[in-house]
Amino acid sequence: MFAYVFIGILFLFVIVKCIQYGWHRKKSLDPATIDKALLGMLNSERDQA
Amino acid sequence: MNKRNSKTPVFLKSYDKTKYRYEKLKVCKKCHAFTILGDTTCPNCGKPHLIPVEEQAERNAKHAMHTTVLIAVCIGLISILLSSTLLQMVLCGIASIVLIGVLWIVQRNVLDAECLRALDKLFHANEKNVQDGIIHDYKAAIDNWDTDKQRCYEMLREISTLLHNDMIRIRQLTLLQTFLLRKDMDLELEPLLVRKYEPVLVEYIGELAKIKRDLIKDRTFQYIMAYEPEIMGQEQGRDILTAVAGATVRMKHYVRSYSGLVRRYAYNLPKDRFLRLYQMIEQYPNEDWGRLSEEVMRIYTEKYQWDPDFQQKGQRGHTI
Repeated sequence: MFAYVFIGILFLFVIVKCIQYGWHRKKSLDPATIDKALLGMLNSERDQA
Repeated sequence: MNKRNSKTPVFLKSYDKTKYRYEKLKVCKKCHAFTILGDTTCPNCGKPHLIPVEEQAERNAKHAMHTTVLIAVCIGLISILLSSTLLQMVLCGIASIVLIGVLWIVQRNVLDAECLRALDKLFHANEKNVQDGIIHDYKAAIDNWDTDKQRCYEMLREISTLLHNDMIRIRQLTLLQTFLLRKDMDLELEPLLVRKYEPVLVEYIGELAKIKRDLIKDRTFQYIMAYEPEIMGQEQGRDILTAVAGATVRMKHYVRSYSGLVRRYAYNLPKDRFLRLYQMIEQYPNEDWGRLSEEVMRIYTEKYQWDPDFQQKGQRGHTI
């Protein structure tokens, strides 16, 4: 009985993880955005005239 | 002439331009220090554990995925251990294998996206380390200011990939002016444009106008025009402005866009540049050259009316 409960937990775990991965992929960052964010991080306080 | 003789001939390493700037950043596997300089040895701990940030992000993403698979395997094993019959055990085993297999396949498909997420997370979680690393690199570059100017410039050039401020640009320009610049050198201009009038930048532009005109583009022309009065006041200012005006002549778009600049210095242009300008205006008489065409004709009449080089195409009358 408890074996099937854990299989159920495993099933839900895998489903949740797959949904999470799918969501991440849908909202995936593109490299250009990361690049821009990095530049913003490094130059926000330093980019003075 | 004396100024040229005091310049140092150098052979700058070529600058490897990456598609994304973060690709130049490296991180130490041991101390997690970031650097844009150095190949494999960490400048912070001295260990040969530097890797590109993308590689570190991939490691982080894969580590997270392996942890997920491990948790799934543990749950599967628990279900098998809790089975009371052989049939239950077999069913739980098969279900575990199928579910973990599905998880593994999905992870493989989303690896690229997860790596990018891990990279973004890496930067945000280590913001201070990245900033400290770049500052450390900058200090290491400046340490070479007096002893090895070439190395200093090369290091600043790398750092300027990520740090965009006029202080670094001016330092680079100051160093460039100590080098004997050549046509075959891997030089840049637009990334070095500063916001305010800077004589050392103007001198550099003047040099490039002679050896690498193709680097002078719209932003540079706009900078020159914005600070034209100040440039006229500096040493060899007029010569620099004339050279920049000569650089416009390589494209009709530039001559048309900056016709005022060209008109003001057309009289002092070298013959070959003036000839090209003259031929351009001759070839496109219906373009809106403003007062430039009148000035060019006036100069032609005064200086080149009897020059055979100008007669090859100029058979029409050129009265103003």
